[in-house]
Amino acid sequence: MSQDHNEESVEETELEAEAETEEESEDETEEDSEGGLDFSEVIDEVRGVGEIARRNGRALVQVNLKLSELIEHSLKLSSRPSTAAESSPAPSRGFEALAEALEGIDAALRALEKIPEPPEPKIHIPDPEPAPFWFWPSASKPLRPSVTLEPYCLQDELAAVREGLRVTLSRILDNLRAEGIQPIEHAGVFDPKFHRVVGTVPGDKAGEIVDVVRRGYFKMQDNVEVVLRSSLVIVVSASPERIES
Amino acid sequence: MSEPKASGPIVGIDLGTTNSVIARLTGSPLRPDVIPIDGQRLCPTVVSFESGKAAPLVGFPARNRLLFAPEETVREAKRHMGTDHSYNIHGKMYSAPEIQAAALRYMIEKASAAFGETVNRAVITVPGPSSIRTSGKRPGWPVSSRD
Repeated sequence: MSQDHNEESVEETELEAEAETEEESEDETEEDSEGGLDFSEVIDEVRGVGEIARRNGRALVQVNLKLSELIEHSLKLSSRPSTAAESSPAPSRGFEALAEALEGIDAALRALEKIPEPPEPKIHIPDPEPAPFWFWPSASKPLRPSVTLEPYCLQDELAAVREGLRVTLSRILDNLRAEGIQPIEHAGVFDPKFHRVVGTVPGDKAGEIVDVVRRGYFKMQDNVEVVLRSSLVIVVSASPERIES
Repeated sequence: MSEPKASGPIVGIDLGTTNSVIARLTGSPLRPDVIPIDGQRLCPTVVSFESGKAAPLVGFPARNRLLFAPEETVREAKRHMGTDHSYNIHGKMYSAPEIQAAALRYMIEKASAAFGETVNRAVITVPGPSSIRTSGKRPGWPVSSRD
């Protein structure tokens, strides 16, 4: 038992040393006493990724920087939760920071889902005015078409950011899966064990999940699913007459 | 009133209005060690009666159903302790102590499973109106109280 504990602590200190060397250049995150990581700054920025990117191109450079920062952080994180979970009685304890970061990515992806289609350039070719018969052809109005372009649109760049986020997310999820942590499924009827109802809508199929507000995660421990973070869902109400009244 | 059986572990339960915690003194020097219920340190004091099922849901699953089935779910039953208030669920009447007893029973069962032996004795920290003792009796333990 004590030997196990020693091994764990050795592993943890190694991880911390690794994390510190990585942080020397950036000095952005601070570790609290519980060994968790504070990602609130990065998360806030990632949350705004979609909006910033939509606003202008210069911000896009910033976004890319933030994205690469996040990947670094997430790589550091991915090796964390197992040690944190084993040493504390509640496995959800060390997972909160990571879940926040994942939620940030989810939010950014959701914002980027709505990239508008590129507008078709409007081309207008004026009808040539018939020149008087005595005129030399060059004296008539030029036949130059006028092209109206929408404001510069960052379709490709936005798609690239989205792709980057997707890759980041899948990479983190792969690492988590190796630790036995899985995202909660949202197919079909809501299960009170995994899903927390945060809203109801009227409808026919009571309990059917209509929307997912926040993704949740669970961990397999001794063949029992332990919910680390419940999903927040909106479901079809069990009693439609209550909503009407 | 019969005396508690003097065997098995003793747990401490903070029976809160919103959340409850169950813990046990361990180690040397003695320190309270929270017993996780369903992997969580806190257990919401919410009880939800699914229609057609004998055992009610307690804790996070019950809290998760709160908005989905509000007429089947009871929370903050502690507020009605010591009053005549009763909850009508599927046509059956439950008093506040009965609701609290369901929550207590669930936590005790989980703690027993975690220890591998039956928990017979518990210290429940609540302001002590007599109805709390009543809810303590319902899971089938003797209650010795200090008012």
